[in-house]
Amino acid sequence: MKTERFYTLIFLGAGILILFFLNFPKYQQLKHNLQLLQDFQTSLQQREVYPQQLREIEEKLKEFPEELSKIESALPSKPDPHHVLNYLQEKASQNQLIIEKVENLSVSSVPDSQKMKQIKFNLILLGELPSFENFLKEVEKSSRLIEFEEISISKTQTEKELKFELKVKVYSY
Amino acid sequence: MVKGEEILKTKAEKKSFIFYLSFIFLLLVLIFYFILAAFNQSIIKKINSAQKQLQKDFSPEIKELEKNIKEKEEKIKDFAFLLEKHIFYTKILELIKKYTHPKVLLKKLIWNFEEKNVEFLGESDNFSVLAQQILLLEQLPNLKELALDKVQITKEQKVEFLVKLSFFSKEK
Repeated sequence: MKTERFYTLIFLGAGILILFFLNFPKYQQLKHNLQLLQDFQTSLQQREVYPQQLREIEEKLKEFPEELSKIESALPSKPDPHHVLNYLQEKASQNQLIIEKVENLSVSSVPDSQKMKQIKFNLILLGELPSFENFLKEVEKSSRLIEFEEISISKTQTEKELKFELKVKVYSY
Repeated sequence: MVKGEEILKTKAEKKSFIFYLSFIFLLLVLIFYFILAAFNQSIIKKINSAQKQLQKDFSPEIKELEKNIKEKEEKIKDFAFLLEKHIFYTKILELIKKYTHPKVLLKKLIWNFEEKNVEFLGESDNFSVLAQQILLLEQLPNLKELALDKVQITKEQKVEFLVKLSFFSKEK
């Protein structure tokens, strides 16, 4: 009888100990792993639909060829400063402006962008104010995004002629 | 005597029942542990397999597509940023014309769009015209600060002056 009572206590004690020190941590671990598996399964599902999503985006982008081509012109893949210089020279001569000097041409990365580059140079033009106004109007219409960091207008020795010093900035990839 | 024996027998039966119950309890706890361990193991296997699948590379076609789309996305973002801060310079010329006094000779003007400031070197016949010019410049939109930096009388008895202006961000 005494032995039976002893074993009853041992079984109950061992059962409770196993329950607290083995089963409970195992259950916690299982709960954690189930959550982990759920997260991985969600990621897998997203991965499965990802190529399809990419194709859908590509299709949507194809609906805007004109806009994309404008962006491509504004931000071409290569810096090509000679294209900008040719364009400005053409527009200057069309508007009776003389290019006196082009100086300090540099190509550098744009601080806030990962890939964008900026081409900077100084352009000095001579001519009359209405010609310069027309020149600016033409430049504003340009598909390439042309910016001026600084515009300086000053008088020259000649009566009507003005000197326009422009700090030009254009972008590329 | 018979009653006492019966009571003893019932007590013994009860004890024996508790003994078996505790044994079954221990057994169930152990079985439960092994079930948990086995289930956990199978979950770990599934996690490992999912991890391997996630680490697999996409096909070259998808990678190329992803690269192209990311490039376009970046370009669109950069273009939008540039367009937002783009200035229409002809409007600036209109402003200069509008805010220059008709009796003032504009000798030099430097408009720095990065620093958002302007240096206005002009010449007037007298101080009254200069005062009118300053009043006119004070009406410029988004003007932050106006400073009369220099005033001097030229050989021709004209008033030469340098006004420095600075603007808030929206000076378009």
